[in-house]
Amino acid sequence: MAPLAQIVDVGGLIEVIWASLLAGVGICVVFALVIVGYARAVDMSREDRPVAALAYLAVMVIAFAGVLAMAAFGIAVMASK
Amino acid sequence: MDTDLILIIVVVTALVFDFTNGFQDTANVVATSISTRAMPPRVAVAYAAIFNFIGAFISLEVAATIASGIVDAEVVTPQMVFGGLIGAIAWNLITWYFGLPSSASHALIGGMVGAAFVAAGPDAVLGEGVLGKVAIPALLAPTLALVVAGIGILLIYRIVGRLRPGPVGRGFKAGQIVSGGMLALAHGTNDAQKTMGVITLALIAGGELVPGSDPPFWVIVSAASAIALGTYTGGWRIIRTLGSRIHKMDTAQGFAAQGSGAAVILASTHVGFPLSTTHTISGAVIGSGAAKRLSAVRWGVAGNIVVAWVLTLPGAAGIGAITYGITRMFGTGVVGPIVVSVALLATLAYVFARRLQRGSPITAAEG
Repeated sequence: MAPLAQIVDVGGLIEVIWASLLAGVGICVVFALVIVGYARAVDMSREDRPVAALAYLAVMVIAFAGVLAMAAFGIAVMASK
Repeated sequence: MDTDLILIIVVVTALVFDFTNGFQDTANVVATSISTRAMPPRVAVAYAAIFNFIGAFISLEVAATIASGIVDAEVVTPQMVFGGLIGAIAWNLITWYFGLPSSASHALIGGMVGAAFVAAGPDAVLGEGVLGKVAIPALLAPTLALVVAGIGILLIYRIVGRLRPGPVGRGFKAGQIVSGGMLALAHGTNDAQKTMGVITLALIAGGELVPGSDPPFWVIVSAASAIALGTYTGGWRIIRTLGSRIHKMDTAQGFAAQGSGAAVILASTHVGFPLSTTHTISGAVIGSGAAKRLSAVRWGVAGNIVVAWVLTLPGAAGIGAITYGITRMFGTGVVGPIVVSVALLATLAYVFARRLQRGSPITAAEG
């Protein structure tokens, strides 16, 4: 039997590990920021602090755009397989 | 006439395998959503079934056949494919009966390995292929998903920890609906393609298609329908294991498991190193629980799942080998596959009748 390095694509394996870490941890963080932005924006507007509310709303919108971009990239990956 | 009949039997068996594949893997997509009440059980399985169906049409590039690089292509016959499929179907049903998630793809590979071993001896099984395409990914997928989901949930808790629970819960439930849809799409694309590949291979071997042909439209539609129907039927036992028996999830853990699981599957597909959906999601579910508190995970249940994974290849191979041996006892004609099909149907009818006598099976209400 051939050595393990010849059987397994070690380069691909390492790429899978970092790509998975980046995508998996990335989606968790970005989606958590959507929730923080939304929840804080509601709180700030209740406390009558419109500037802070707007800033948190901006965080939510930017993070949500990130989530949509990741979803679109996922569909593109499936389609191009 | 005999060839046509064998071909019909192989196609029907492949569609039955596709159905059990959907049935086995429903839990991967919906278990966390049902457990955290992001969606009602019936709505969740219907949602997963629809996205599975759509997923089967996203990419029509037939992947290399499932057993490519694992068994010697020169020795593959329709009877061998039949033996492999029966081995996989039987293994899917056995693991479903015990409520254990297991990889349908690995079951199919196991079935083919067993049938090839009996048909042409040990040289027909390519050991390097088994190691590179089955063993290494089986180790990598759950470990990687466990680590990714674990880091993901710890960061989520750090980011949303001081917020009111209401918006957080609602937000992660909405997130689970999106990540569940992505998982179902990926599953439909990956797994329905395998059945399309098996049927196309059988049609080429039977002389109905020229080598290198794309799958006919009826093959695409029937494979998409079979996997969607299997998904909609729902393997409720496995859903219960994955959704609540490993650990009781909150909405953030549900999202971390599903979102990071989907990300790992798609990232690995993008790199060209596809990993099993079952292994990935199971690892992510365990990781999202263990990162919060090690004792939150029922390690006995997790251990049973790992045992089922280890046994998948030899178990399905054993059944595939026996099936091929029985079919060959009746010669190379259609009698063997017919006898095995009838025997399998009779066994299934007996098991379900006994199950119904003992009480109703696990359903959506209990899922």
